[in-house]
Amino acid sequence: MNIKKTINYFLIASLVSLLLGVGFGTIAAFQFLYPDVVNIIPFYKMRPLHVSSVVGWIFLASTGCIYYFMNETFVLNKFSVKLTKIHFYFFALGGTLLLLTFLMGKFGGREYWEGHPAFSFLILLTWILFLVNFFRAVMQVKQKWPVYLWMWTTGVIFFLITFIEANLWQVPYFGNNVVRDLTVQWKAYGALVGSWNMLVYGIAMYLVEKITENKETANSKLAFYMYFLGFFNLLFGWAHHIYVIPCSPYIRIISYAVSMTELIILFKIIYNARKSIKSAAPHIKQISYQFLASSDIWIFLNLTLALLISVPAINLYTHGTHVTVAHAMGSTIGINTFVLLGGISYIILKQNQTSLQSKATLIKRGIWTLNISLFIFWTALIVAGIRKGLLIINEHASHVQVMSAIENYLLIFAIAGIGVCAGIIFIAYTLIKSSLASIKIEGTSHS
Amino acid sequence: MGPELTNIMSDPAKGEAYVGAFIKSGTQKMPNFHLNENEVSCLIEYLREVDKSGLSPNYKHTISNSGYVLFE
Repeated sequence: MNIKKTINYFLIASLVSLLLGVGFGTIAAFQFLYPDVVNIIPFYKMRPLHVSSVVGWIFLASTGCIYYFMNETFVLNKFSVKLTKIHFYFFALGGTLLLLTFLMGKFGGREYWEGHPAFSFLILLTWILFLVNFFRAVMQVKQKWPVYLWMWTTGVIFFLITFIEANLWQVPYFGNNVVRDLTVQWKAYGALVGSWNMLVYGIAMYLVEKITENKETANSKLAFYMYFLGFFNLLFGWAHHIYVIPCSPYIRIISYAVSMTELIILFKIIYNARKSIKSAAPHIKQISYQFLASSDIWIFLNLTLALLISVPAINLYTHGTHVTVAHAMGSTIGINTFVLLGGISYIILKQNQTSLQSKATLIKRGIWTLNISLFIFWTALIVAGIRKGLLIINEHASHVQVMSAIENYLLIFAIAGIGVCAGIIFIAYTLIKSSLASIKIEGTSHS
Repeated sequence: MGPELTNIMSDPAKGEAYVGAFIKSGTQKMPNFHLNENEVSCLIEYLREVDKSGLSPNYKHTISNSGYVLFE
């Protein structure tokens, strides 16, 4: 018995979750401007539905990819099929129940998964199952670990730690003190994103190694140096999320200094730009590589934005504005989603070359639609956020004055969101169809 | 993305009566959750507690040449 079928379930469920996420998000963008749009599910329900579906996409896709990649390269059939199946069904059940309770209006106002505590427990349980399965397999890798194995291991452990931290509000010592609660919550959510980024960036490193057939990329000193820099930021860089909270000044100073170390990554990207384009040329016709090439551009754009908003003098104006939303959405769609779509297309191509290759034109159109729409979407949010920050800090404008000043930018953002949604539908529909074809072929070959 | 509520309770133009009316009637963007009197007064107490935690936005600040912000 092998786990390929379950991996395909992970991939299909992840793409369905992505489609739901962008669908909810597109409607929510219009509801923010016109509250009467889709009255049956109002904005306050649509927002957690959108965020949770997108986070579900990231976890289902990244764990599905990691199962496949580990199985492909290191530990053929060393994963427990039973644990993998239980992991999938528990996660799918927990996620579905969570979305249903959100639809019923039962949730708190926190950014991620504030449903009934039982759901937090279920998510924790599925992650422990994944952790056990992952360590059972990874500990059997006797050769020198390439950087992506370290990244996945770090991501798996740190998600467990930060998820527990994100739920500390359930303990009265944290939940009953506003400043303490906000500090821990914003810190934990920053580190939580850092932990799943480790899973996603590990997938990107794996794909580059496989597509370019160059093992050096994931074993070089530079790769490990960048990993440690990312890890260092995961441990200490979160604090730029809490500049505006009345906390000890040393936290702000350390986080400012740590955030600025990411300038090294930015300089490296700029320094290597010409070399990257040259080395990409032979692979650019490959579907998976096209996704990775898109994510490269978005890494550059979002890292520049992240560095700017980590400067306290700029953060003062951008905190809690649409610039933060641009940073979050630009990274989630432009970086994480493109990398994960690259991972899924790589797996499907490996399983069933003809089914996906014949749809290459459709996917290419999807990638272009997504990139162009996302750029308009991202820019409109940044302009709206800067305008909002300047109006509030410099002119002490009221919420109503701010909203009327930025309404047109938000309309451009919402319309561009339809383009983002269309691009993702093109791509996800094609990948789901090909993944289903792979399951069928797998079934036929076993019967 | 919504309005700033940190210091709404001590705002001379707003305060308890204003907040209570908003919670009870809802607005076009914030629904009426049909809370009872006790729940409304708990929310008001919570906002009063939040108000004591600091200022937001804090206009009393100095920006240094290093890009660091000193809050009063």
